[in-house]
Amino acid sequence: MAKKSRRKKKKKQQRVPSLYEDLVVEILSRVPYRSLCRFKCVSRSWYDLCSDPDLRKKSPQTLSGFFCYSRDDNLNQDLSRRFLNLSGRGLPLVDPSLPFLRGLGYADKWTVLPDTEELYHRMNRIRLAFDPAVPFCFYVFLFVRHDFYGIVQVEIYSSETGVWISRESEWGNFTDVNDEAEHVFFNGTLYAITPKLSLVTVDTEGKIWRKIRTPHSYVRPRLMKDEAFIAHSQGHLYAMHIDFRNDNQLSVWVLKADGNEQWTLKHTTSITKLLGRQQYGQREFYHLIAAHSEQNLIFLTGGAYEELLSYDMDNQEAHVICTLQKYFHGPMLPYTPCFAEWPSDGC
Amino acid sequence: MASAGSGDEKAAAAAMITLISSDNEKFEVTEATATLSQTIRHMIEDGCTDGGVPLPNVTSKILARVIEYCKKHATAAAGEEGSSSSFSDAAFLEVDRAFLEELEEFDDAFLEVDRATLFDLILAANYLDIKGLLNLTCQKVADSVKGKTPEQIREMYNIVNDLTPEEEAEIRRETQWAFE
Repeated sequence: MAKKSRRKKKKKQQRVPSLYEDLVVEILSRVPYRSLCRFKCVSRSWYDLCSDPDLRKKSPQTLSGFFCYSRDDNLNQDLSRRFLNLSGRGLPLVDPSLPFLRGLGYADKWTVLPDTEELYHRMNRIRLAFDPAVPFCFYVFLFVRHDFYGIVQVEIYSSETGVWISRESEWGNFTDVNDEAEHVFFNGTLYAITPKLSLVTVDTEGKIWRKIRTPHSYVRPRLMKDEAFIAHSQGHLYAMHIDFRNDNQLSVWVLKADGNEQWTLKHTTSITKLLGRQQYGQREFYHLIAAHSEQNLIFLTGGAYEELLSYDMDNQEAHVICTLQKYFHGPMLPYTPCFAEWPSDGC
Repeated sequence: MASAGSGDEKAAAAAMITLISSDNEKFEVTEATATLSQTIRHMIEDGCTDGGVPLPNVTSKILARVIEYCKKHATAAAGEEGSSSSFSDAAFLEVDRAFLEELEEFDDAFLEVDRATLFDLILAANYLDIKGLLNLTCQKVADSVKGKTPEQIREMYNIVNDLTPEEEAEIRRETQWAFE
């Protein structure tokens, strides 16, 4: 032991003796955020390391709750935004009126998009895309639609370059994206579902275009377009579906990342049976609302009691988080805190 | 040899690779065990493993441990490939669970090493590109530092605090919530 510490003293200028910096990053990305903040006081080099955006990008992102709208007893009251903790209890983790969007020095972070003619066409559709781990970096995808041919062109704005680029669609004629369609963004690629239940993807440079049939398109009887759900988790794209005609059978497919456009059925279960409930006719519906980005955990709402539920695919357990009496069940937007932004930044 | 045996599971399993540590010790392992290392997998694919694979960055002591890990986990990986189609089979899941528990116990015991060995294992896992082992060992170190105070970290790793008292006070003020 004495011998070892002598050897370490010789290398005391290093952060952790005899480990490369990228391996120290590997280790620190597995440390809770709170510890990471404390470690900034260790030394100058640890301060730099613990403030490094690359490290934050690697740290786990944890879904902590949902934004939703309150259900008001008086019909004439306007809908106010609420925040629902994942635990279903306690004070909201964030102020649901999002005051930081207005003040606290964040105001200068507003970005005004440069003008593009296509912004003004009623037919066109806009999607905002960002990676929660990368602060203040976002993309805007503008689908330029033709009333007969569908999407003919996509304009992409990057907050990094500050300009729009315009690319002709390579998805083929008659490809469209609906207002209510699910979309997902990760690893620099936007994924969206078409009314015909295909998955279309395009990257932020408008170079790689793909159109893939989703597992939903094979389900019979044919699904409505709002029954198709896609989500990102752990670096993969998942397609999910709950068949309300069949004991609320949940199916989860994962898109293989090897570019072969193959879906693999990863999991099936009956939500109704899992909860030990009876299906009364076809009145019991469940809606998928989110997937945890780091775990095999999904969130759904619905049932006879209108509840918010979580389902863990690993141990096949479902939990009721809370009833949604006070809340509308949709839209519910998952919230993942952006640990990337903390107060000592820029000092 | 690999091409002749392709498609024949037994022949593939029997294909042996020789790994040579930095202190020139030779280790015979099956291809299934060796290919848990992406680095070695690529070497096999490129057909440059004849006469053994020299690993100048890994000592025999560490290599022996790494091979122990790979042997155990290669069996696990083989089991997993066959399981995807029978995901909902309850009986199969039970077997699977028992095996996973065993694997967890193995991992826990495997990590009972001193810090120097642990760091050497991290370096080896990184060099050999063995994701599971890198994850396991890094998590072990992460678990050992989390919740510690800056003073404890300095002591554990012999780090000299080169921040001025004013700077440290300033950082502490900014990260006050993390100390509460």
